[in-house]
Amino acid sequence: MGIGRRKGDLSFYIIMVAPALLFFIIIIAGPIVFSLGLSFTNYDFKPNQIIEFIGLDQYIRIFQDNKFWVGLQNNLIVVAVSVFGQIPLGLILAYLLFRGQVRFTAFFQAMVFLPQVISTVVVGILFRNFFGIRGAGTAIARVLVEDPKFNFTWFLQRETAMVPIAIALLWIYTGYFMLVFLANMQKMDKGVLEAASIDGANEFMIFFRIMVPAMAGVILVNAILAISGSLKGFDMFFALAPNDGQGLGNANLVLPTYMYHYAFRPQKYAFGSAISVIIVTISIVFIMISNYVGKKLNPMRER
Amino acid sequence: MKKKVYKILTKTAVYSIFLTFTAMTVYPMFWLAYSSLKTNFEIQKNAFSFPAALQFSNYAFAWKYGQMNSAFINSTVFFLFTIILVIASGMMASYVFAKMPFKRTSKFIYAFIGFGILISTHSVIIPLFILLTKMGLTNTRTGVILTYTAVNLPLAIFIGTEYIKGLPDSIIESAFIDGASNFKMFLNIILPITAPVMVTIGIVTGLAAWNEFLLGFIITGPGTRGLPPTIVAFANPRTPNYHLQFAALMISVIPIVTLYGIFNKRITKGVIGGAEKG
Repeated sequence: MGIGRRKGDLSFYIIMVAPALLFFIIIIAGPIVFSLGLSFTNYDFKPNQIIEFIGLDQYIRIFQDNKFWVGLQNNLIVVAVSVFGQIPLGLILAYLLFRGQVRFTAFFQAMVFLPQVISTVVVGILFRNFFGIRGAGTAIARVLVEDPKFNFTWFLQRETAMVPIAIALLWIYTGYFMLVFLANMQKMDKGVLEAASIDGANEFMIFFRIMVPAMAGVILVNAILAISGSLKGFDMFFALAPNDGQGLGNANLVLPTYMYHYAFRPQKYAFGSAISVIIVTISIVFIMISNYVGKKLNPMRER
Repeated sequence: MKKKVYKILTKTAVYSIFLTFTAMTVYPMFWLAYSSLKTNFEIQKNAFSFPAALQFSNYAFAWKYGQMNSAFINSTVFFLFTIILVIASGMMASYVFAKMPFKRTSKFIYAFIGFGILISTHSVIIPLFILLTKMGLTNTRTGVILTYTAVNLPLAIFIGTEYIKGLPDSIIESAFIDGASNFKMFLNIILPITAPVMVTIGIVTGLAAWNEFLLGFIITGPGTRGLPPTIVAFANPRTPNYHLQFAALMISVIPIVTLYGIFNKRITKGVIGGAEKG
């Protein structure tokens, strides 16, 4: 640790850390702890309400609520789409770009990345309109199926309610993962790849035997980021399924929208706090798994 | 000969994959752009057709009826102040985490704040809403700026700390030998050489602040909302004024896509940079 301690370092240290730490504690960490406490009560911040400690009652209500399970199931679908859709697709696209199979790399990169910079909620509304009754997506589909009255009704059926969301997620995030993988591939030692080509390995073999193993760590880290990202998403679901969670809208609830429609809006704050505690707990479990697996894979990289 | 045919076939396949993918990202945007200049009747009649005459008045109407004026100003204010606060407080913390003594304390606080990268923001909406209400900060721009700052700090500190860790200790040591104080050291030596990472943090934070929806939606009212919540309220599926909806969407998209057009390499690098470290 090169730099020794000097006089006045402690006060300097405190001054430098204080702003960031205060922001974080007051606005993120404090509220999380607070909502943990709140979740064991019935207190919804209504005037003259008698505050009671009711133990796990809020959690029991959640677990008995069918809509919670729909939300959880849909969240897991989103996780699956991220891990088994975005990441493999991103990896393959990155590999194609990396191996120089395509010219205009910069152009394709820029285009594929474009949805990333736009507000998710705006992308969601665009998507909804594009595949809506007046949208070009629907118009293209009408030509393809030769039915001028064709409409997308996926949202209306329980089995397919998540399909449009899955497509939208692939559309937005695949480009992101492509670029992350590409950046990592470019840091690789090219000698191995060249040697393999000279030995007559074809692209498929190089991809599966060399690239995928070499990228294993990166794939894992990004899988974890994708999982936590899938649990964090709200805007896309809100924009694509703005029906207030009633009736048909329930088919595409995820946990965050479930909390919003059934706890925040009706001002059942204690109930909602219990839902956030569950979401945070799921995230923490994923973070712990990620740390564990990460350390297993990379024992040398102790910081 | 056979090999050549095979090569051409793969090339064609690969190109069609990329062209399809590009078309999938670009076409909806392009469609939105030209549809926003059609009349509502034209949109309803034919989804593909180009506008007969460019209806720039759509933008004027959307701007007026959607209250885009205040939304645009608010978004710009959120964007600028969040960037400034995140860079300032983030770089301060990053420097001491990376280079100062008290390593144990640093490690602990760093891990604690780092947690914020993975925790979802919607898990704090209820307590945060209550807190800001009690503090009288709901429906104020200050409330939004403070919230956005806190939400974006963890990633900023992660990017900043990892960057400064990579700088050689010798720079700092020699400055101390020359008699620099801690503050002078930070202001005159560290800040100038960390300019690239401040740009990265600025990009990541700026994009997030410009595009954020949920927090900016729940803690604000009509006069203090930024663009995304305003557009959501305006582009309601129940109002079939497609031309105005599309113009409203474009009002949010145009500035960011323009910036992306100019700084596309930097932005891509910045956003990827956060994940690359892993």
